Amino acid sequence: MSDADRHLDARSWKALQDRSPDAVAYFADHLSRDCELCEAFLARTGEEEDSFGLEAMTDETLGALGPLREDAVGWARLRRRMGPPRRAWLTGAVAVAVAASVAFALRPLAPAGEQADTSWQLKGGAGLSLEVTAVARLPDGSLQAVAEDTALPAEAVVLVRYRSNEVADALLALEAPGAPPQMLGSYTLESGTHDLREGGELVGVSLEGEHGPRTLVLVAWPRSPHSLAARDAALARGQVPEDALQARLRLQVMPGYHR
Amino acid sequence: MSAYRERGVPPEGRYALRVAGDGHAGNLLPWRAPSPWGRGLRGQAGRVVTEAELSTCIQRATQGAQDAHRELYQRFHGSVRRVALGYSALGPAEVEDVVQETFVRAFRELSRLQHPRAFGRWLVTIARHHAQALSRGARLRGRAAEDLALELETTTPAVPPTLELERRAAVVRELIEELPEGPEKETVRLFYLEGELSAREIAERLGLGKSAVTMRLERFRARVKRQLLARLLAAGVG
Repeated sequence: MSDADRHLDARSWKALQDRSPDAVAYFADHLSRDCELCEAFLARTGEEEDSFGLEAMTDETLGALGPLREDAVGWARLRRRMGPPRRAWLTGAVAVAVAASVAFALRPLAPAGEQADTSWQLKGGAGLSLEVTAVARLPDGSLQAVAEDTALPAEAVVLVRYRSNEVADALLALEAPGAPPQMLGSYTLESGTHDLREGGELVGVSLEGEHGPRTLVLVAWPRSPHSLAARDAALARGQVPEDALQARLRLQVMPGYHR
Repeated sequence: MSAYRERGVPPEGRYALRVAGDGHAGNLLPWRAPSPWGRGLRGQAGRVVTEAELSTCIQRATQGAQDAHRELYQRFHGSVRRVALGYSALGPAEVEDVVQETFVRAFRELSRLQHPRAFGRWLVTIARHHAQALSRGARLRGRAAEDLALELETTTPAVPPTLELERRAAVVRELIEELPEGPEKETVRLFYLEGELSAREIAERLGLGKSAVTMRLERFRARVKRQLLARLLAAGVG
């Protein structure tokens, strides 16, 4: 058989897997041109030895051709499968309705840079000013403004609103006495007063399973080349860094409590 | 309450994170051009992820950060779904099962991935195993599960710079362009470029049998394999 007649078969495939120099050189050239016989062989090689990772590389490439699409439903299913529900997000029309209500229920935030008398505290940071306040959605669907040390039932979901005087990278944590903080998520804060959102939806913190004093902490780093890394490092450590700007809101979670 | 979309965190989730992309530029990951992926998330034009950023995202996901899980899911679910949709024996529910099972397994086994760069290839490998197992029926599922376990132990081979994903995708687009106008090109275009329809649905749209569509897709896939193998060999991989 002349060189020109050589096509992929079990023997030559094995030679390629073994990186035989002759086979590699020949097929690098031969396969650069159309060859129905070799393609027919390759169509059958899915479960053969594949030290090149050719199957995976092909699937990855073909999968990268189509447009990317968000899949909120699939992601929600996956989240449920990966762990028990704990936090809650508002979504859809209800979120819109709640957002509208929140605007009325929340106390107006104090002007940037001033210390409000309740519901938020500032510490650290010079250029960035940050404030938080919140409203709780109660089991009966009503909304309750959340001031410092407000008592809330464990069934409540707390919606956070912030005011920042500049764009910042931030994380939200929930602190409990004597326990490491729970890192709830990472966000980009915009300048101005906004509800904390994820993917366009209001972010709500479920208090399910909580009991006693809890503190919501919004930690922010003014946008810089290092702010994302600083935030991600804090998330990875699972600690609220002392040197970052923090806005805090203390709550009292009282299971069974009703107004 | 139905008004809430539940978000789960692992039972041990002290460090479980929720959230990330809130739709604002530069949120969770600094998606920036230029990118080896060559495209951004839908609705976020220009926001694309570099390899280093992907690596960071995977590292964070390994630590249990759910915002990173979310980013990986949104970035890769399409590729995984495309693998499953290529199996005409699978119905829509089974395709979704493949997608879900693939990500559950991948996220649980993420710490075993030896190189973050190989995440995409590793993921589609898991997906193909699941899809094969489902399409062949229960008799072979046990064996496929064993194969999968072995696969997860292996290291995905390195890819030379000349075969990074963006370049490979360009090669395949060229291959599609070169196909003569006709049913094969239309099938490939619908399945891989538009990426909306399953093999079954394409068969219905084109008035063909499922096997005809599957055969065309397999033939094109073999052509892609030939091209990629030629380039791997030319690059002296191994």
